[in-house]
Amino acid sequence: MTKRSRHFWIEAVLLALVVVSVAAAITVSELSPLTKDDLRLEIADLRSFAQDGAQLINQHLAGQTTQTFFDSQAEQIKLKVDSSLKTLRNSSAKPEIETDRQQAVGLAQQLSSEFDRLSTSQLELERSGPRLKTLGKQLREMEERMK
Amino acid sequence: MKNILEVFLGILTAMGGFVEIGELVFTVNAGVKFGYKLLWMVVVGTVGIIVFGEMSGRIAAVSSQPVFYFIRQRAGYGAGLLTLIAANLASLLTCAAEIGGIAILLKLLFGGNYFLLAFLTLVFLLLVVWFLSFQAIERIFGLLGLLMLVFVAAAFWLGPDWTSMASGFIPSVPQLETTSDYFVYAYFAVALLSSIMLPYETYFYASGGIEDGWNPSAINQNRIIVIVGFSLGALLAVALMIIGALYFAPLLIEPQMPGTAAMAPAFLFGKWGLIIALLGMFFAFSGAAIENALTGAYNISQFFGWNWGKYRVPKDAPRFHLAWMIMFVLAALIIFTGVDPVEVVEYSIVFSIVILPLTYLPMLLAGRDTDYMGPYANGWLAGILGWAYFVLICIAALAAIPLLIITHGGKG
Repeated sequence: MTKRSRHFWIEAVLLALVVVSVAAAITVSELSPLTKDDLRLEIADLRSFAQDGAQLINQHLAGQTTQTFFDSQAEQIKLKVDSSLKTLRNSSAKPEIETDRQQAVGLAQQLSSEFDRLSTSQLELERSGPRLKTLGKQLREMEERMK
Repeated sequence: MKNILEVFLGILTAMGGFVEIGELVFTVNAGVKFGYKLLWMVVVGTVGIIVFGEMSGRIAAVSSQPVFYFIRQRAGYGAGLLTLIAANLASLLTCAAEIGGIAILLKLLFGGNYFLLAFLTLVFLLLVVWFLSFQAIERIFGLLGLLMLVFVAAAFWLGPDWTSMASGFIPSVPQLETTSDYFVYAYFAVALLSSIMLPYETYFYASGGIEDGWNPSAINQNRIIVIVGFSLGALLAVALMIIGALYFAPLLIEPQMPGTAAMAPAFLFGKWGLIIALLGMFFAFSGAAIENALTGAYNISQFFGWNWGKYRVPKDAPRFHLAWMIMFVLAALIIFTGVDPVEVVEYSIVFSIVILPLTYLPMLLAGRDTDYMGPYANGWLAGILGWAYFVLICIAALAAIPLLIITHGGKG
Protein backbone atom coordinates (compact mmCIF):
# COMPACT_ATOMS: atom_id res chain seq x y z
CA MET A 1 0.00 0.00 0.00
CA THR A 2 1.46 3.37 -1.00
CA LYS A 3 1.67 6.29 1.41
CA ARG A 4 -0.98 8.11 -0.65
CA SER A 5 -3.52 5.31 -0.53
CA ARG A 6 -2.81 4.77 3.19
CA HIS A 7 -3.63 8.44 3.80
CA PHE A 8 -6.80 8.09 1.79
CA TRP A 9 -8.00 5.17 3.89
CA ILE A 10 -7.09 6.89 7.16
CA GLU A 11 -9.09 9.97 6.08
CA ALA A 12 -11.98 7.84 4.87
CA VAL A 13 -12.13 5.92 8.16
CA LEU A 14 -11.98 9.16 10.19
CA LEU A 15 -14.80 10.67 8.15
CA ALA A 16 -16.86 7.48 8.48
CA LEU A 17 -16.25 7.50 12.25
CA VAL A 18 -17.52 11.07 12.53
CA VAL A 19 -20.65 10.26 10.50
CA VAL A 20 -21.32 7.02 12.44
CA SER A 21 -20.78 8.77 15.81
CA VAL A 22 -23.25 11.53 14.94
CA ALA A 23 -25.80 9.01 13.66
CA ALA A 24 -25.33 6.88 16.82
CA ALA A 25 -25.69 9.91 19.11
CA ILE A 26 -28.91 10.95 17.36
CA THR A 27 -30.33 7.39 17.42
CA VAL A 28 -29.49 6.88 21.10
CA SER A 29 -31.08 10.21 22.01
CA GLU A 30 -34.22 9.32 20.00
CA LEU A 31 -34.60 5.89 21.62
CA SER A 32 -33.76 6.71 25.22
CA PRO A 33 -36.49 7.86 27.65
CA LEU A 34 -37.29 11.57 27.77
CA THR A 35 -35.11 13.47 30.20
CA LYS A 36 -36.16 16.63 31.98
CA ASP A 37 -34.27 18.66 29.36
CA ASP A 38 -35.93 16.84 26.44
CA LEU A 39 -39.35 17.46 27.94
CA ARG A 40 -38.58 21.14 28.56
CA LEU A 41 -37.52 21.54 24.93
CA GLU A 42 -40.72 19.94 23.63
CA ILE A 43 -42.74 22.24 25.91
CA ALA A 44 -40.75 25.24 24.65
CA ASP A 45 -41.60 24.27 21.07
CA LEU A 46 -45.29 23.94 21.95
CA ARG A 47 -45.22 27.32 23.70
CA SER A 48 -43.71 28.89 20.57
CA PHE A 49 -46.38 27.26 18.35
CA ALA A 50 -49.18 28.49 20.63
CA GLN A 51 -47.82 32.03 20.56
CA ASP A 52 -47.26 31.80 16.80
CA GLY A 53 -50.89 30.75 16.33
CA ALA A 54 -52.20 33.53 18.56
CA GLN A 55 -50.18 36.14 16.67
CA LEU A 56 -51.30 34.70 13.33
CA ILE A 57 -54.93 35.11 14.37
CA ASN A 58 -54.34 38.67 15.61
CA GLN A 59 -52.70 39.67 12.36
CA HIS A 60 -55.35 37.92 10.28
CA LEU A 61 -58.15 39.67 12.13
CA ALA A 62 -56.30 42.95 11.60
CA GLY A 63 -56.32 42.30 7.84
CA GLN A 64 -52.55 41.84 7.61
CA THR A 65 -52.57 38.40 5.98
CA THR A 66 -54.33 36.76 3.08
CA GLN A 67 -56.83 33.93 3.69
CA THR A 68 -54.53 31.47 1.86
CA PHE A 69 -51.56 32.46 4.00
CA PHE A 70 -53.62 32.15 7.17
CA ASP A 71 -54.97 28.69 6.28
CA SER A 72 -51.60 27.33 5.11
CA GLN A 73 -49.60 28.75 8.02
CA ALA A 74 -52.16 27.43 10.55
CA GLU A 75 -51.98 24.01 8.89
CA GLN A 76 -48.19 23.99 9.13
CA ILE A 77 -48.19 24.99 12.78
CA LYS A 78 -50.73 22.24 13.50
CA LEU A 79 -48.47 19.70 11.80
CA LYS A 80 -45.64 20.77 14.08
CA VAL A 81 -47.89 20.60 17.15
CA ASP A 82 -49.03 17.10 16.17
CA SER A 83 -45.44 16.01 15.68
CA SER A 84 -44.58 17.21 19.20
CA LEU A 85 -47.71 15.54 20.55
CA LYS A 86 -46.69 12.26 18.92
CA THR A 87 -43.20 12.49 20.43
CA LEU A 88 -44.62 13.20 23.88
CA ARG A 89 -47.16 10.38 23.64
CA ASN A 90 -44.85 7.74 22.22
CA SER A 91 -41.82 8.38 24.41
CA SER A 92 -41.34 6.92 27.82
CA ALA A 93 -40.20 9.36 30.48
CA LYS A 94 -38.11 8.98 33.58
CA PRO A 95 -40.42 8.34 36.61
CA GLU A 96 -39.71 11.71 38.23
CA ILE A 97 -41.08 13.59 35.19
CA GLU A 98 -43.90 11.24 34.18
CA THR A 99 -46.57 13.56 35.65
CA ASP A 100 -45.07 16.49 33.76
CA ARG A 101 -45.09 14.45 30.54
CA GLN A 102 -48.78 13.65 30.99
CA GLN A 103 -49.55 17.30 31.66
CA ALA A 104 -47.60 18.28 28.52
CA VAL A 105 -49.56 15.71 26.47
CA GLY A 106 -52.81 17.26 27.74
CA LEU A 107 -51.73 20.79 26.79
CA ALA A 108 -50.49 19.61 23.38
CA GLN A 109 -53.87 17.93 22.75
CA GLN A 110 -55.69 21.15 23.61
CA LEU A 111 -53.37 23.06 21.32
CA SER A 112 -53.96 20.66 18.46
CA SER A 113 -57.76 20.93 18.94
CA GLU A 114 -57.53 24.73 18.89
CA PHE A 115 -55.81 24.60 15.51
CA ASP A 116 -58.50 22.19 14.24
CA ARG A 117 -61.20 24.73 15.09
CA LEU A 118 -59.43 27.75 13.57
CA SER A 119 -61.10 28.20 10.23
CA THR A 120 -64.70 27.43 11.21
CA SER A 121 -66.01 30.98 11.76
CA GLN A 122 -64.97 34.56 12.43
CA LEU A 123 -66.49 34.41 15.91
CA GLU A 124 -64.62 31.21 16.72
CA LEU A 125 -61.44 32.84 15.44
CA GLU A 126 -61.88 35.76 17.81
CA ARG A 127 -62.22 33.31 20.70
CA SER A 128 -59.33 31.10 19.61
CA GLY A 129 -56.72 33.86 19.85
CA PRO A 130 -57.08 34.39 23.63
CA ARG A 131 -57.35 30.62 24.20
CA LEU A 132 -54.07 30.06 22.36
CA LYS A 133 -52.49 32.85 24.40
CA THR A 134 -53.66 31.17 27.61
CA LEU A 135 -52.21 27.85 26.46
CA GLY A 136 -48.96 29.61 25.57
CA LYS A 137 -48.86 31.11 29.07
CA GLN A 138 -49.49 27.74 30.73
CA LEU A 139 -46.76 26.13 28.63
CA ARG A 140 -44.39 28.99 29.46
CA GLU A 141 -45.00 28.49 33.20
CA MET A 142 -44.35 24.79 32.85
CA GLU A 143 -41.19 25.46 30.86
CA GLU A 144 -39.91 27.86 33.54
CA ARG A 145 -40.68 25.36 36.26
CA MET A 146 -38.61 22.73 34.51
CA LYS A 147 -35.47 24.87 34.21
CA MET B 1 -20.13 52.54 -18.83
CA LYS B 2 -20.69 48.86 -19.55
CA ASN B 3 -18.18 47.94 -16.81
CA ILE B 4 -19.89 50.19 -14.28
CA LEU B 5 -23.22 48.57 -15.11
CA GLU B 6 -21.63 45.12 -14.76
CA VAL B 7 -20.22 46.00 -11.32
CA PHE B 8 -23.51 47.54 -10.22
CA LEU B 9 -25.51 44.49 -11.30
CA GLY B 10 -22.88 42.22 -9.74
CA ILE B 11 -23.20 44.04 -6.41
CA LEU B 12 -26.99 43.83 -6.45
CA THR B 13 -26.82 40.15 -7.41
CA ALA B 14 -24.37 39.34 -4.60
CA MET B 15 -26.58 41.25 -2.18
CA GLY B 16 -29.82 39.64 -3.33
CA GLY B 17 -28.31 36.17 -3.18
CA PHE B 18 -26.84 36.55 0.31
CA VAL B 19 -29.63 35.01 2.38
CA GLU B 20 -31.08 31.53 1.99
CA ILE B 21 -33.40 29.45 4.18
CA GLY B 22 -30.71 28.37 6.65
CA GLU B 23 -29.36 31.83 7.24
CA LEU B 24 -32.91 33.18 7.55
CA VAL B 25 -33.88 30.71 10.28
CA PHE B 26 -30.61 30.85 12.22
CA THR B 27 -30.30 34.63 12.11
CA VAL B 28 -33.87 35.36 13.25
CA ASN B 29 -33.57 32.79 16.05
CA ALA B 30 -30.19 34.18 17.11
CA GLY B 31 -31.97 37.53 17.54
CA VAL B 32 -34.80 35.90 19.52
CA LYS B 33 -32.43 34.13 21.91
CA PHE B 34 -29.62 36.65 22.30
CA GLY B 35 -30.91 40.02 21.07
CA TYR B 36 -28.11 41.99 19.44
CA LYS B 37 -25.36 40.02 21.18
CA LEU B 38 -24.42 37.97 18.12
CA LEU B 39 -24.33 40.84 15.62
CA TRP B 40 -20.55 40.74 15.73
CA MET B 41 -20.64 37.23 14.30
CA VAL B 42 -22.42 38.55 11.19
CA VAL B 43 -19.46 40.90 10.71
CA VAL B 44 -16.92 38.10 11.31
CA GLY B 45 -18.71 35.81 8.83
CA THR B 46 -19.11 38.54 6.23
CA VAL B 47 -15.43 39.53 6.33
CA GLY B 48 -14.62 35.81 6.02
CA ILE B 49 -16.77 35.29 2.94
CA ILE B 50 -15.35 38.51 1.44
CA VAL B 51 -11.77 37.25 1.99
CA PHE B 52 -12.36 33.82 0.45
CA GLY B 53 -14.83 35.02 -2.18
CA GLU B 54 -12.31 37.59 -3.40
CA MET B 55 -9.53 34.98 -3.35
CA SER B 56 -11.54 32.39 -5.28
CA GLY B 57 -12.64 35.02 -7.85
CA ARG B 58 -9.07 36.29 -8.26
CA ILE B 59 -7.68 32.77 -8.69
CA ALA B 60 -10.40 31.99 -11.25
CA ALA B 61 -9.72 35.24 -13.13
CA VAL B 62 -5.96 34.68 -13.27
CA SER B 63 -5.81 30.94 -13.88
CA SER B 64 -9.26 30.23 -15.36
CA GLN B 65 -9.23 27.28 -12.98
CA PRO B 66 -11.99 26.73 -10.40
CA VAL B 67 -11.73 25.80 -6.73
CA PHE B 68 -12.04 22.02 -7.12
CA TYR B 69 -9.19 21.89 -9.60
CA PHE B 70 -6.96 23.27 -6.82
CA ILE B 71 -8.44 21.03 -4.16
CA ARG B 72 -7.47 17.97 -6.20
CA GLN B 73 -4.11 19.44 -7.16
CA ARG B 74 -3.09 20.61 -3.67
CA ALA B 75 -4.78 18.12 -1.37
CA GLY B 76 -4.21 15.05 -3.54
CA TYR B 77 -6.72 12.61 -4.99
CA GLY B 78 -7.76 10.91 -1.72
CA ALA B 79 -8.37 13.98 0.42
CA GLY B 80 -9.76 15.74 -2.64
CA LEU B 81 -12.27 12.97 -3.25
CA LEU B 82 -13.43 13.04 0.37
CA THR B 83 -13.82 16.82 0.15
CA LEU B 84 -15.81 16.37 -3.05
CA ILE B 85 -18.16 13.84 -1.44
CA ALA B 86 -18.63 15.95 1.69
CA ALA B 87 -19.06 19.20 -0.27
CA ASN B 88 -21.61 17.68 -2.62
CA LEU B 89 -23.49 16.10 0.26
CA ALA B 90 -23.70 19.51 1.96
CA SER B 91 -24.85 21.10 -1.32
CA LEU B 92 -27.42 18.35 -1.83
CA LEU B 93 -28.87 18.87 1.66
CA THR B 94 -28.93 22.64 1.19
CA CYS B 95 -30.61 22.25 -2.21
CA ALA B 96 -33.19 19.91 -0.64
CA ALA B 97 -33.92 22.43 2.13
CA GLU B 98 -34.37 25.22 -0.42
CA ILE B 99 -36.78 23.09 -2.50
CA GLY B 100 -38.81 22.31 0.62
CA GLY B 101 -38.71 26.00 1.58
CA ILE B 102 -39.94 27.04 -1.89
CA ALA B 103 -42.81 24.52 -1.70
CA ILE B 104 -43.82 25.99 1.68
CA LEU B 105 -43.74 29.51 0.23
CA LEU B 106 -45.87 28.47 -2.76
CA LYS B 107 -48.35 26.91 -0.35
CA LEU B 108 -48.48 30.16 1.64
CA LEU B 109 -49.00 32.17 -1.53
CA PHE B 110 -51.40 29.94 -3.47
CA GLY B 111 -52.41 27.03 -1.23
CA GLY B 112 -52.38 23.40 -2.38
CA ASN B 113 -50.71 20.13 -1.53
CA TYR B 114 -47.16 20.49 -0.22
CA PHE B 115 -45.78 17.45 -2.05
CA LEU B 116 -47.38 18.46 -5.34
CA LEU B 117 -45.89 21.93 -4.90
CA ALA B 118 -42.47 20.38 -4.17
CA PHE B 119 -42.79 18.42 -7.43
CA LEU B 120 -43.78 21.57 -9.34
CA THR B 121 -40.80 23.34 -7.77
CA LEU B 122 -38.53 20.60 -9.07
CA VAL B 123 -39.98 20.96 -12.59
CA PHE B 124 -39.71 24.76 -12.41
CA LEU B 125 -36.04 24.64 -11.35
CA LEU B 126 -35.15 22.07 -14.01
CA LEU B 127 -36.78 24.19 -16.72
CA VAL B 128 -35.13 27.40 -15.49
CA VAL B 129 -31.63 25.93 -15.53
CA TRP B 130 -32.23 24.15 -18.83
CA PHE B 131 -33.56 27.17 -20.73
CA LEU B 132 -31.94 30.23 -19.14
CA SER B 133 -28.33 31.30 -19.57
CA PHE B 134 -26.03 31.52 -16.56
CA GLN B 135 -26.11 35.32 -16.67
CA ALA B 136 -29.92 35.40 -16.86
CA ILE B 137 -30.24 33.05 -13.87
CA GLU B 138 -27.76 35.13 -11.87
CA ARG B 139 -29.52 38.40 -12.63
CA ILE B 140 -33.15 37.30 -12.33
CA PHE B 141 -32.84 35.48 -8.99
CA GLY B 142 -30.20 37.81 -7.53
CA LEU B 143 -32.10 40.98 -8.39
CA LEU B 144 -35.57 39.72 -7.45
CA GLY B 145 -34.06 38.35 -4.22
CA LEU B 146 -33.68 42.04 -3.35
CA LEU B 147 -37.39 42.01 -2.49
CA MET B 148 -36.05 40.63 0.81
CA LEU B 149 -35.08 44.24 1.55
CA VAL B 150 -38.60 44.51 2.98
CA PHE B 151 -37.03 42.89 6.07
CA VAL B 152 -34.51 45.75 6.27
CA ALA B 153 -37.36 48.25 6.09
CA ALA B 154 -39.23 46.28 8.77
CA ALA B 155 -36.18 46.25 11.06
CA PHE B 156 -35.77 50.00 10.66
CA TRP B 157 -39.50 50.53 11.29
CA LEU B 158 -39.28 48.57 14.55
CA GLY B 159 -37.01 51.34 15.87
CA PRO B 160 -33.99 49.55 17.29
CA ASP B 161 -31.99 51.15 20.07
CA TRP B 162 -28.97 52.14 17.99
CA THR B 163 -26.59 52.38 20.95
CA SER B 164 -27.22 48.87 22.26
CA MET B 165 -27.25 47.61 18.69
CA ALA B 166 -23.83 49.17 18.08
CA SER B 167 -22.48 47.43 21.18
CA GLY B 168 -23.58 44.12 19.64
CA PHE B 169 -20.95 44.58 16.93
CA ILE B 170 -18.18 44.31 19.52
CA PRO B 171 -17.14 40.64 19.96
CA SER B 172 -18.04 39.57 23.49
CA VAL B 173 -19.29 36.70 25.59
CA PRO B 174 -22.39 38.02 27.36
CA GLN B 175 -23.55 37.26 30.90
CA LEU B 176 -25.96 34.34 30.59
CA GLU B 177 -27.99 32.43 33.17
CA THR B 178 -26.71 28.87 32.84
CA THR B 179 -23.83 26.86 31.40
CA SER B 180 -26.29 25.43 28.90
CA ASP B 181 -27.01 28.98 27.65
CA TYR B 182 -23.30 29.48 26.96
CA PHE B 183 -23.26 26.32 24.85
CA VAL B 184 -26.31 27.53 22.93
CA TYR B 185 -24.60 30.89 22.41
CA ALA B 186 -21.50 29.11 21.06
CA TYR B 187 -23.67 26.90 18.84
CA PHE B 188 -25.42 29.92 17.32
CA ALA B 189 -22.08 31.70 16.83
CA VAL B 190 -20.70 28.69 14.93
CA ALA B 191 -23.91 28.16 12.94
CA LEU B 192 -24.07 31.84 11.95
CA LEU B 193 -20.46 31.74 10.81
CA SER B 194 -21.18 28.63 8.78
CA SER B 195 -24.42 29.93 7.29
CA ILE B 196 -22.66 33.05 6.04
CA MET B 197 -19.49 31.24 4.86
CA LEU B 198 -21.24 28.24 3.27
CA PRO B 199 -18.59 26.60 1.05
CA TYR B 200 -20.87 26.38 -1.99
CA GLU B 201 -20.76 30.16 -2.23
CA THR B 202 -17.06 30.19 -3.11
CA TYR B 203 -17.30 27.16 -5.42
CA PHE B 204 -20.17 28.79 -7.25
CA TYR B 205 -18.63 32.27 -7.29
CA ALA B 206 -15.35 31.06 -8.81
CA SER B 207 -17.08 28.84 -11.36
CA GLY B 208 -19.41 31.73 -12.20
CA GLY B 209 -16.40 34.00 -12.81
CA ILE B 210 -15.11 31.48 -15.34
CA GLU B 211 -18.59 31.18 -16.90
CA ASP B 212 -18.56 34.98 -17.25
CA GLY B 213 -15.17 34.81 -18.99
CA TRP B 214 -13.21 36.67 -16.33
CA ASN B 215 -9.50 37.38 -16.92
CA PRO B 216 -6.96 39.38 -14.85
CA SER B 217 -8.59 42.62 -15.98
CA ALA B 218 -11.68 41.60 -13.96
CA ILE B 219 -9.80 41.48 -10.65
CA ASN B 220 -10.86 44.95 -9.51
CA GLN B 221 -14.44 44.29 -10.56
CA ASN B 222 -14.33 41.05 -8.53
CA ARG B 223 -12.98 42.91 -5.52
CA ILE B 224 -15.66 45.62 -5.60
CA ILE B 225 -18.46 43.09 -6.10
CA VAL B 226 -17.51 40.91 -3.15
CA ILE B 227 -16.71 43.75 -0.75
CA VAL B 228 -19.72 45.96 -1.49
CA GLY B 229 -22.19 43.20 -2.45
CA PHE B 230 -21.53 40.93 0.52
CA SER B 231 -21.38 43.88 2.96
CA LEU B 232 -24.78 45.10 1.79
CA GLY B 233 -26.04 41.50 1.95
CA ALA B 234 -24.90 41.42 5.57
CA LEU B 235 -27.27 44.33 6.21
CA LEU B 236 -30.08 41.91 5.51
CA ALA B 237 -28.69 39.45 8.07
CA VAL B 238 -28.44 42.29 10.62
CA ALA B 239 -32.06 43.24 9.86
CA LEU B 240 -33.22 39.66 10.42
CA MET B 241 -31.49 39.59 13.79
CA ILE B 242 -33.12 42.89 14.78
CA ILE B 243 -36.53 41.48 13.79
CA GLY B 244 -35.83 38.42 15.94
CA ALA B 245 -34.90 40.60 18.90
CA LEU B 246 -37.63 43.24 18.64
CA TYR B 247 -40.58 41.49 17.08
CA PHE B 248 -40.44 37.76 17.85
CA ALA B 249 -38.67 37.68 21.24
CA PRO B 250 -41.34 39.74 23.08
CA LEU B 251 -44.02 37.50 21.56
CA LEU B 252 -42.15 34.38 22.81
CA ILE B 253 -42.03 32.99 19.26
CA GLU B 254 -39.01 31.09 17.94
CA PRO B 255 -39.70 31.02 14.20
CA GLN B 256 -39.26 27.56 12.70
CA MET B 257 -41.01 28.22 9.40
CA PRO B 258 -40.43 30.78 6.63
CA GLY B 259 -44.05 31.91 6.94
CA THR B 260 -43.53 32.93 10.55
CA ALA B 261 -40.58 35.13 9.56
CA ALA B 262 -42.82 36.85 6.97
CA MET B 263 -45.28 37.89 9.68
CA ALA B 264 -43.00 40.73 10.80
CA PRO B 265 -43.21 42.66 7.49
CA ALA B 266 -46.95 41.82 7.43
CA PHE B 267 -47.40 43.37 10.88
CA LEU B 268 -45.70 46.58 9.77
CA PHE B 269 -46.73 46.93 6.12
CA GLY B 270 -49.90 44.82 5.86
CA LYS B 271 -50.72 42.32 3.13
CA TRP B 272 -48.31 43.88 0.63
CA GLY B 273 -45.46 43.58 3.13
CA LEU B 274 -46.35 39.92 3.52
CA ILE B 275 -46.51 39.24 -0.22
CA ILE B 276 -43.23 41.08 -0.93
CA ALA B 277 -41.51 39.13 1.86
CA LEU B 278 -42.81 35.80 0.52
CA LEU B 279 -41.79 36.66 -3.06
CA GLY B 280 -38.35 37.84 -1.90
CA MET B 281 -37.84 34.55 -0.08
CA PHE B 282 -39.10 32.64 -3.14
CA PHE B 283 -36.45 34.19 -5.39
CA ALA B 284 -33.71 33.99 -2.76
CA PHE B 285 -34.41 30.30 -2.01
CA SER B 286 -34.77 29.47 -5.73
CA GLY B 287 -31.44 31.17 -6.44
CA ALA B 288 -29.80 29.19 -3.63
CA ALA B 289 -31.33 25.90 -4.87
CA ILE B 290 -30.00 26.54 -8.38
CA GLU B 291 -26.58 27.58 -7.07
CA ASN B 292 -26.31 24.39 -5.00
CA ALA B 293 -27.38 22.09 -7.83
CA LEU B 294 -24.97 23.77 -10.24
CA THR B 295 -22.24 23.75 -7.58
CA GLY B 296 -22.61 19.98 -7.22
CA ALA B 297 -22.23 19.61 -11.00
CA TYR B 298 -19.31 22.07 -11.15
CA ASN B 299 -17.47 20.29 -8.33
CA ILE B 300 -17.75 16.80 -9.74
CA SER B 301 -16.92 17.89 -13.31
CA GLN B 302 -13.95 19.98 -12.24
CA PHE B 303 -12.61 17.23 -10.00
CA PHE B 304 -12.74 14.55 -12.68
CA GLY B 305 -11.71 16.90 -15.48
CA TRP B 306 -14.96 16.67 -17.47
CA ASN B 307 -16.18 19.45 -19.75
CA TRP B 308 -18.31 21.81 -17.71
CA GLY B 309 -20.16 25.11 -17.88
CA LYS B 310 -23.69 26.36 -18.44
CA TYR B 311 -22.39 28.13 -21.55
CA ARG B 312 -21.69 24.71 -23.08
CA VAL B 313 -24.61 22.98 -24.76
CA PRO B 314 -25.56 19.58 -23.26
CA LYS B 315 -23.99 17.78 -26.24
CA ASP B 316 -20.59 19.31 -25.36
CA ALA B 317 -20.80 18.74 -21.61
CA PRO B 318 -23.28 15.87 -21.13
CA ARG B 319 -22.00 14.68 -17.75
CA PHE B 320 -22.06 18.21 -16.32
CA HIS B 321 -25.68 18.76 -17.41
CA LEU B 322 -26.72 15.34 -16.19
CA ALA B 323 -25.04 16.04 -12.82
CA TRP B 324 -27.09 19.17 -12.01
CA MET B 325 -30.28 17.40 -13.00
CA ILE B 326 -29.41 14.49 -10.70
CA MET B 327 -28.68 16.98 -7.89
CA PHE B 328 -32.17 18.50 -8.27
CA VAL B 329 -33.89 15.12 -8.45
CA LEU B 330 -32.06 13.70 -5.41
CA ALA B 331 -32.76 16.89 -3.45
CA ALA B 332 -36.47 16.65 -4.30
CA LEU B 333 -36.51 12.98 -3.30
CA ILE B 334 -35.18 13.96 0.14
CA ILE B 335 -38.11 16.37 0.49
CA PHE B 336 -40.62 13.77 -0.76
CA THR B 337 -39.70 11.63 2.28
CA GLY B 338 -41.57 14.24 4.35
CA VAL B 339 -38.54 15.50 6.25
CA ASP B 340 -38.80 19.06 7.59
CA PRO B 341 -36.70 21.36 5.32
CA VAL B 342 -35.64 23.52 8.25
CA GLU B 343 -34.25 20.47 10.07
CA VAL B 344 -32.40 19.46 6.90
CA VAL B 345 -30.81 22.88 6.62
CA GLU B 346 -29.72 22.84 10.27
CA TYR B 347 -27.75 19.66 9.65
CA SER B 348 -26.39 20.89 6.32
CA ILE B 349 -25.10 24.09 7.90
CA VAL B 350 -23.30 22.27 10.69
CA PHE B 351 -21.98 19.71 8.23
CA SER B 352 -20.77 22.52 5.94
CA ILE B 353 -18.53 24.02 8.57
CA VAL B 354 -16.81 20.69 9.05
CA ILE B 355 -15.69 20.79 5.40
CA LEU B 356 -14.78 24.49 5.33
CA PRO B 357 -11.10 23.90 6.23
CA LEU B 358 -10.80 21.31 3.46
CA THR B 359 -12.16 23.88 1.01
CA TYR B 360 -10.24 26.94 2.06
CA LEU B 361 -6.77 25.48 2.67
CA PRO B 362 -6.12 24.54 -1.00
CA MET B 363 -7.43 27.96 -1.99
CA LEU B 364 -5.05 29.68 0.42
CA LEU B 365 -2.13 27.63 -0.88
CA ALA B 366 -2.98 28.36 -4.52
CA GLY B 367 -3.70 32.04 -3.86
CA ARG B 368 -0.29 32.70 -2.33
CA ASP B 369 1.65 30.73 -4.98
CA THR B 370 3.55 33.36 -6.97
CA ASP B 371 4.59 30.78 -9.58
CA TYR B 372 0.94 30.28 -10.35
CA MET B 373 -0.60 33.66 -9.62
CA GLY B 374 2.34 35.90 -10.62
CA PRO B 375 1.74 39.49 -9.53
CA TYR B 376 -1.82 38.61 -8.48
CA ALA B 377 -0.79 36.33 -5.58
CA ASN B 378 -2.21 37.08 -2.11
CA GLY B 379 -0.94 40.36 -0.67
CA TRP B 380 -0.13 40.74 3.03
CA LEU B 381 -3.73 41.59 3.97
CA ALA B 382 -5.29 38.65 2.10
CA GLY B 383 -2.56 36.40 3.54
CA ILE B 384 -3.03 37.45 7.17
CA LEU B 385 -6.82 37.43 7.00
CA GLY B 386 -6.85 34.15 5.09
CA TRP B 387 -4.73 32.31 7.66
CA ALA B 388 -6.55 33.92 10.61
CA TYR B 389 -9.87 32.74 9.18
CA PHE B 390 -8.42 29.33 8.47
CA VAL B 391 -7.56 28.93 12.18
CA LEU B 392 -11.02 30.23 13.13
CA ILE B 393 -12.90 27.82 10.86
CA CYS B 394 -10.74 24.91 12.05
CA ILE B 395 -11.79 25.67 15.65
CA ALA B 396 -15.42 26.07 14.55
CA ALA B 397 -15.24 22.81 12.57
CA LEU B 398 -14.02 20.90 15.63
CA ALA B 399 -16.67 22.46 17.87
CA ALA B 400 -19.64 22.23 15.48
CA ILE B 401 -20.80 18.62 15.93
CA PRO B 402 -20.25 18.41 19.71
CA LEU B 403 -22.20 21.67 20.08
CA LEU B 404 -24.99 20.35 17.84
CA ILE B 405 -25.36 17.32 20.11
CA ILE B 406 -24.90 19.07 23.47
CA THR B 407 -27.40 21.84 22.66
CA HIS B 408 -30.01 19.59 20.95
CA GLY B 409 -29.59 21.54 17.73
CA GLY B 410 -29.40 24.91 19.48
CA LYS B 411 -32.55 24.49 21.55
CA GLY B 412 -30.80 24.42 24.90
